[in-house]
Amino acid sequence: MTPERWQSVSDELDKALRMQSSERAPYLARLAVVDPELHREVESLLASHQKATAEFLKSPIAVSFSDPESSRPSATMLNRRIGSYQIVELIGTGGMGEVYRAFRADDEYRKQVALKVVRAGEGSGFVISRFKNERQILASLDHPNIARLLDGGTTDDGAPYFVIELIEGESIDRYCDHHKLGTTDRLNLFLQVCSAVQFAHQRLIVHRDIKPSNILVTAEGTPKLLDFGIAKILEADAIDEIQPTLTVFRMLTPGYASPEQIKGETITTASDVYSLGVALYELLTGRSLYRVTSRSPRELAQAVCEFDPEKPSTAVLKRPAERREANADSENRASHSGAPQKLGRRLRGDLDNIVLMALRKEPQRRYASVEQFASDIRRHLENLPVIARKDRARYRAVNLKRFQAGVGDPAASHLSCSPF
Amino acid sequence: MVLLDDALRRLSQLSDRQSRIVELRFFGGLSIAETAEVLNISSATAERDWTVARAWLHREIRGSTHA
Repeated sequence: MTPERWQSVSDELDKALRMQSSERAPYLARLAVVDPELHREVESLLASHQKATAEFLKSPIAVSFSDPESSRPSATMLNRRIGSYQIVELIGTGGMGEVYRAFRADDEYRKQVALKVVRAGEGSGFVISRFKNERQILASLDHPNIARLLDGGTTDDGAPYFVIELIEGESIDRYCDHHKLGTTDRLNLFLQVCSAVQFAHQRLIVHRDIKPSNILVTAEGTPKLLDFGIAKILEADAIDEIQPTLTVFRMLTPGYASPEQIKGETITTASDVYSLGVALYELLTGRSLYRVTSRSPRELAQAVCEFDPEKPSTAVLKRPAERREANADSENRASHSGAPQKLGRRLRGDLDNIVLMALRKEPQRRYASVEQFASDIRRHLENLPVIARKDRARYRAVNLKRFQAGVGDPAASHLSCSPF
Repeated sequence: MVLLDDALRRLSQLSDRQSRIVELRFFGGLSIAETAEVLNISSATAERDWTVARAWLHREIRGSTHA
């Protein structure tokens, strides 16, 4: 459809929506005669308008894709056989479709796998093309710390599916707490995650959504990075095609998104360095990077773009550890090195500098690669001098000034970190 | 969210203004009046585009019933 044609559709839809139902029917009948194609489009959008509940697009959190409407197909999937795989149960839903626990029916060991079926409604060719993209990306990522792609195909109904390694484990932050890991063990676990991200970066794949809940640790203690589904290969034409302002929608998890992701600027491997920095900050301190009292995306965006994060060593002294969930054993969190004072001493200096270097607002002032980030952590563990230094005062002054300018005027400060 | 991302990119090709309105409302948490102010359009236009964009996005994301 051309923008001009869409303008006509928008106008007609708007007109139809303003009418009483008594006048709408004859109006649509006339439209059907004058321009059948336009009529069909308007009818279809009217139907969608009626189906869209008040919750739809109300806030990013509201689009969970787990409403009854979207999970309906799953019931029909249970106990079905797809290719060589027998579906056992639904284990998750995501933007792309459902994930099932399944096993290979012709395998005597009945090894369990995760089977991801892409929800393909009518006219959703773009879902299939995105899926194919994900399949190709995952197929090229054979690394011990990345969930492996095993197989793929198309169901009898034409829905694409793929089979990935079933990871049974807990998210890295919970794992560290449950196992009461000390700072050194946490750093070693984190280094394995870095090696997975570095491996992907060498293949020009940026993860874009690194966060503790995307890193599962198995019972054997191996971290596995999940969900490369939104990764994009850094091809020149792929970047050209994406308008800068729209990259803001890749900001899937505001708490872990880098300032450039929030501003809608170009996303590079440096964005993953930042997200890894947020994850490390939380693993080492047991505290969120930013204390934003409201859940408003606007305030969080402002914090990410404007505020200098508190040093990890200071944060553990000033703030109590946060409970990740209502029944979490908060005693474990961040008390992994004993008293806050002891943890603070462990973090002060090298680890403060390393974490804050990864978290710098300007991508070019962070570590140049995940490899450098990891090397600095290794140097710290070997008691060698690290590269990371305290941020120079000049930059901090600029940041502070920007922040102060925005204080009295929330709208202005919001705009200063948005692309519009 | 990936679906929304894709759908919005496609919407921006049909109407840049409509996709920006969704960005500001959905991700920025702005009200209709604030959105209108940022884009320098009337509140009525912002409201109208928001309604149309929502209907279109709902169809694209939730799967369509149109032929």
